[in-house]
Amino acid sequence: MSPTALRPRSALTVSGVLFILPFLFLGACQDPSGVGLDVIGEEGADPRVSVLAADSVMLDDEADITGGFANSVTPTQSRILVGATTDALLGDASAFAYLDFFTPDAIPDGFRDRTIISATLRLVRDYVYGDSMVSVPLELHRMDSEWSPIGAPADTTFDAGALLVEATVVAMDTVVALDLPVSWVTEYDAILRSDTLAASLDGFQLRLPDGVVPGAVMGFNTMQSSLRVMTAQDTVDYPLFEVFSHIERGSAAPPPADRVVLRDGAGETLALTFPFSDIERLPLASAIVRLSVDPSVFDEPGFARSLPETIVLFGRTEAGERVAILNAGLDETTNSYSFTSATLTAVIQEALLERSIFERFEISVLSSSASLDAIPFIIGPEPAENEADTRPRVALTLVP
Amino acid sequence: MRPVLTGILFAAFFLAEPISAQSTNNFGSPYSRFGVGERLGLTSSMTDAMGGAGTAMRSSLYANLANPAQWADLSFVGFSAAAQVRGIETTDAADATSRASGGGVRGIQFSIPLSSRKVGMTLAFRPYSRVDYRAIEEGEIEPDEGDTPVAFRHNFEGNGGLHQFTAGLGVRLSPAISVGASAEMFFGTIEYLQRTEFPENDEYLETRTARSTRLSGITGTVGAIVSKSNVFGEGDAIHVGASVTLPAKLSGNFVQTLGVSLDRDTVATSLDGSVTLPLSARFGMAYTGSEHWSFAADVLYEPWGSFESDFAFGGFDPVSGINSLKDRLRAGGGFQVIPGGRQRTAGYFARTAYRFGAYAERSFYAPFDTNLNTFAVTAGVSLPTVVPAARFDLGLEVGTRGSTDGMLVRDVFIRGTATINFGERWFVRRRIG
Repeated sequence: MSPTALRPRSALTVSGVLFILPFLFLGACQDPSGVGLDVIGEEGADPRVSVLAADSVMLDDEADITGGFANSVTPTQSRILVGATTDALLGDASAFAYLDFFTPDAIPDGFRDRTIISATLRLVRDYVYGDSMVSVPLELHRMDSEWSPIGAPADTTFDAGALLVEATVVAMDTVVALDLPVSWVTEYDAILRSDTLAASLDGFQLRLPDGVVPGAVMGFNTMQSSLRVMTAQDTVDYPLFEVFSHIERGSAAPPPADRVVLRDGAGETLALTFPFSDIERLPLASAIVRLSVDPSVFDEPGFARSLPETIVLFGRTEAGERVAILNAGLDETTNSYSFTSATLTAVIQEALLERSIFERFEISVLSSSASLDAIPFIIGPEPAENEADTRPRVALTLVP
Repeated sequence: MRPVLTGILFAAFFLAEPISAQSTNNFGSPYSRFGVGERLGLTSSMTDAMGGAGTAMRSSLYANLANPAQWADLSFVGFSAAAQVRGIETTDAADATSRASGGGVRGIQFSIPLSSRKVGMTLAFRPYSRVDYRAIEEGEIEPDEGDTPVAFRHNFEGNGGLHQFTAGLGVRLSPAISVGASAEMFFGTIEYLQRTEFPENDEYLETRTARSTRLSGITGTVGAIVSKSNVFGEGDAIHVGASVTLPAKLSGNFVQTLGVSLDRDTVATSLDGSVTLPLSARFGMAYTGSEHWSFAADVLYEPWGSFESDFAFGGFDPVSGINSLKDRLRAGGGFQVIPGGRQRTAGYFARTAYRFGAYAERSFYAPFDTNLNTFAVTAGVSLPTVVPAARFDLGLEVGTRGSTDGMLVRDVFIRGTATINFGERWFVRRRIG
């Protein structure tokens, strides 16, 4: 190759390198900053927080769903309730429960070949409403027909069969064990060891004797409770499967002024609206719905009432559809529930733009954990200047 | 040679575009905020490297977009495509510095000599203006009910600009006089975005407020070149040219959207209106001394002081009466030398064209009532290829804009361009001797 022939290639190479030089200069150019902000002249006002108090707060009817599955299948239900109590403040309450079982995944080798000698319903208590020191008489009845807890409201009743077990327990007992009679064990020996348990065993009803009001309602954890079955060699716990609590609540006394009490198990929901039209159409970075509560309303020595650990915020469409938005836990430091999430922010952004599909918000106690809890929400009065607002409110972080 | 050429072209076109696509660094000067954005003025790769002086610069290969009269000189069917990369360093009075970079296609042209050196037609697509600023502002807010302060960051970002599509004819009326005219179609969207982040708190969503103005419209350009040959010696010539692009009334639609994260579908405001771009007048002189040397000088005037708009832009608000726009003046000049002239037997470097130039510009905006000046030097080489009428041009421009007085900033910018100019004779009647 002659030197002359190299020239064009060399020239192009050199020129190409010269051309690439700006790229090298640009390689480090990723450094945006506040330089030039005055030249751009944007009026970047700081995000501001606007707090809107609810302009309407009221109790409305909403069926309480207390049935479900005790395992991870949805809808889940982690508690059944049994008992009865009088309550002048929140209304008399009574409850009884239905439950059945399924065969566990892990069964000892040879279990199906051995005769069952006993079966005990072991109920792990995780809740008491009323006087925790009283004795509670319990009855366990057999269920003779299929029943389904799915979607059943709390006032549903299923027909129960013969009484199997009677027992009296103390409301504070941690574990309640009800031994099933030998006749029942014998009758269901083969079924319990078969693959057809779900189809052949309809479960039990757990209730009080008729007319008895012991003064407490006990709650049992469905995920920790079981039917314990024993052979001469093995012990197998059959988990609860379908569960349901029938709940009845009487009328409550009128709440104190500026308070409204939402009662779980009473078919109630708290409906809220906010005056979003008072707010400019601005981008919304964050929205927090806060609900303050006044636990002092419940103060009564010897009577256990509790605030629910978790409540749910719903949106209600004009067509009546109810959509769960998010849950919030109780902050015992501030005695309040605070809802905040990206989904809630998006929902309220739409409301600020008058495009919301929801006509109001609703608050309910988490239905997957049946209870007789109640929440005394603070709904007034309007605070004085420089005083904290404790009414239902939404804090909006707006970006002007 | 082809692998090298291919490699450079690859760098120019395929490397520049990804850089452009990186939203994190594809930014430019804060001054692009003003009006419809930073004015861009591609004329040709030749004249760009000569300080942008092209109104009177004649060429049979380059379809110079500064003056449609020049297209009468075309003798090759030509295709030209240019890509660029650019970097900018912006410094304020506190000596704080920000750097930004970007790249992209600079222009595409297609030209046809309908009658060689008598009538030529050109189609071209190029950016007219570009908005590509970004600045940030940081702070903290106090949430309600005693929560800990939350840090926020406003990002002010400008995007878009106007594109220009040109179609026109140049006609030689006599050996000394050429005239030309073209239709110019403008279109594009200018967007001002305020993006607010809360980088240390996941519970706060990024919000976006965008104000977009979409514009489109048509105007026309007329131009003429008068040449005088054999002025100082045989073969030389002096050329005087002028062109005027008439004011363009663009119809537009303004939309304000807001929302969170990437969702900006929420339409808050929508308005229709119009924008009138000012005329653009150019006057230039060129001297083609021989086969070796060419000199050119240009002035450009655009009366942005008469800019009209129903919409608010940076430095201009018809509602509040704010108007920081001023008439734009630009003067530039440069020269080209081809050591080997037209000798095809000369060495490669002798056949390469070397170009140098400079320009000064008074910008069409005067923030805080302060005129802003740009000074830049330009250079370029035009490399011969194996195809006689094809050239590969590389250009470089380095300059400074503005000052750090008061609230102003000074830009130091660098731009590299690569242009392939491909020419071929079409419509040549075969002669049988």
